[in-house]
Amino acid sequence: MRPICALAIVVAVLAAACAPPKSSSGARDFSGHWDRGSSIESFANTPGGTRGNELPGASEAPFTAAGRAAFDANKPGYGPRRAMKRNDPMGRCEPLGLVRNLVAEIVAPHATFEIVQTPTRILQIFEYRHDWREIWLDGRALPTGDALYPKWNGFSVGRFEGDELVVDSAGFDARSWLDKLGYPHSENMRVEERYRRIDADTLELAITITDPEYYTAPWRSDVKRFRANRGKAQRFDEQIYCIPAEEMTYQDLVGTGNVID
Amino acid sequence: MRQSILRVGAVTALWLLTGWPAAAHHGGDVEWGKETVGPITGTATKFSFQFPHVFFEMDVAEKGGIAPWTITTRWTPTILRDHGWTRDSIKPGDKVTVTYLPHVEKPHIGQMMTVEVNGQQLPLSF
Repeated sequence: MRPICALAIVVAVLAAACAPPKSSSGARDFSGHWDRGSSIESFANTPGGTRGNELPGASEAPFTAAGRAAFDANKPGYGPRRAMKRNDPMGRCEPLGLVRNLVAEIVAPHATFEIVQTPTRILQIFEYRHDWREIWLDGRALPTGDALYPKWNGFSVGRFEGDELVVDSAGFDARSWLDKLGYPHSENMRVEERYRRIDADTLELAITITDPEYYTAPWRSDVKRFRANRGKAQRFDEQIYCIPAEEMTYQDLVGTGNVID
Repeated sequence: MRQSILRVGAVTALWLLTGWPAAAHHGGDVEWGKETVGPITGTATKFSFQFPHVFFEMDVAEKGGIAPWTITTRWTPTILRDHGWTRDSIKPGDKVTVTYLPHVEKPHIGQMMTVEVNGQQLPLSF
């Protein structure tokens, strides 16, 4: 056998070994545009997490003392603690951070993300702010030590458990909130996402954060449902960036105090 | 029958105007009052077809003088474009009539609930 042929065989074998196992049903293909279907706009079913009546089972986060203090320092514009004078990073054009992006709290049609999936990597594109993150599926581990540093959307690796996609993430910038209600997180937060397609048009996502600095136990979100939006692929996107000159004009106009001088 | 239709229409309008949350995506939903008021009519001076929320300014005759008002929408330019608006939908000099949710602190700012430009209504409920 020629060396080049042997090399080609080795490459093919390695590629097959690294690629995620195929599912005959397509349940492991998460590609597409997904719109939030749940009425809960907060990270979990917490008090004031919906725009309408509170849903049964709403409960407060399992705060540590430091977590409670950080929560109290965050002044949201939504929920039971909403106030005119606030310090929501969103109103200052700061990145939302991974969890808040995933929650897709924004009103329709912004409450949506797109997943572009390859055998070794997933790109998740968030409509609002045109933010994005990557999930590596090639078997690599999360970085450690100095290689793990704070990023808005963290570092993410994924694997399949059956037809469920499990994503582990670490390395977060603590300036972001978990949601519009002002729930905080530390730099050391770990995030686990579990994605499951329950039918052709429905994606389920459950998020668990582990952050002993701010929460006494792992804190799990409600099971978030997203509906496939096939029409979305047929039009140009919204182009909704946060332009500081425009956002500050608006924040100043409505008097939130959330203005960068 | 006609009364029933009117009653259903009135209830629907009330739901649209008061029950529909004044949603926003820029960090808060507390700045607008719950009750729609107006209409008021003025002369447009500026139209800002920009993110995060389209707004315009107009001069309104008030108490024997002219008061500058700012009226916002709850929508982005992209959404309004989808419903027929353009960056020329309101031009300086246009006569504009709005009903609005009043700002909770500022007396001359509102979030439009209905808008008529030179006698023509622009779509806002979608």
